[in-house]
Amino acid sequence: MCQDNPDLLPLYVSDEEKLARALFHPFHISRSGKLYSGAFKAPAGRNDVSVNRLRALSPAACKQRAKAIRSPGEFMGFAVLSARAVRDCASEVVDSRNVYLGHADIVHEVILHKGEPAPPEFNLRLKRMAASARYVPDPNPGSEQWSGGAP
Amino acid sequence: MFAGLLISHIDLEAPLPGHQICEYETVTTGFLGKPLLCPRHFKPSVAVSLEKTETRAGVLARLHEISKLGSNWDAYAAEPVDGTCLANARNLLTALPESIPSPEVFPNPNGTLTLDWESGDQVLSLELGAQRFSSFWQSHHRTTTAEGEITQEIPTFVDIALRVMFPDVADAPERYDERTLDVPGQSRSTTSLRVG
Repeated sequence: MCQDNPDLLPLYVSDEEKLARALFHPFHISRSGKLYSGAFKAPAGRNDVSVNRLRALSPAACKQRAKAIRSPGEFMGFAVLSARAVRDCASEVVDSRNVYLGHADIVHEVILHKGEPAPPEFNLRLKRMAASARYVPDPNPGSEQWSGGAP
Repeated sequence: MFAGLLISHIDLEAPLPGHQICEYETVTTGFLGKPLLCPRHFKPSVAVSLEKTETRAGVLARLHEISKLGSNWDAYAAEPVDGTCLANARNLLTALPESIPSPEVFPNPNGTLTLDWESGDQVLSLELGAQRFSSFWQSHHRTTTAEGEITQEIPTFVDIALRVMFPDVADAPERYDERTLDVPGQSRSTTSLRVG
């Protein structure tokens, strides 16, 4: 891990890198454990979606970062996908170490507006993106440690 | 309840890749009592996964839960779901025939709702906003999209897709134009069709 040394972490996020998005609400996950595309959509007026670079941060470090986020819901685990899967869906992944080293953003080409549906082509791509991601639940959300499966 | 339609990426005349053209036609029924004959190359699938299908009451209860979401419900600055979106979803669910399985429903961070149906290898996804909808239908390796204004009728696009995906509803047949997905009898004054 290179979470303390920016020189060891290239700015470019390679296609093979795994990305972990912290999830805080069960509405992002189906009853069968499938991820919904809403987990990868940005809020209204924005097009960036926060993720962690697993090349730089261990699952435990990702969890600590996630638990630092002010959330009305409890941390549930991660949605994990590759940078290639993001790019295959016409979005980009960019390093954003200005937030913290190991942070990156999925950047969509579409900015959504409050209460307005996304273009169907965008929704189709996001559904593909969600289908390529894997939900890795945290079996012990209250703990500071990560005891779930390998992201 | 819903109308107003823009359809694109339609290529219904070509045979399906890897599939032979089906030589039969299937009679299905519309939500508005307008049955139709499906295009002969649509091979309706009835492989509905029952374990994923919730009851209508279950989905309506889920909508009630979604209505309680506040600002920042996802910890990433999500909007609460607009009350009009919720009303649109309730109206649509109420209008669905019982033979149509309930969709999976989930909220989006910009305050809209998505309703997803799956049957075999077909997927219909409908996003409901406050005033407009957008939808895509993946069917046998082809994808069709639509968007439009929400009015008092179920979108023609959604109506047709659900009838093809879940063909167990039958009534007096009526044919629609395979090339444009235009349903006879549906008001054209509120329907904008474009074939891409």
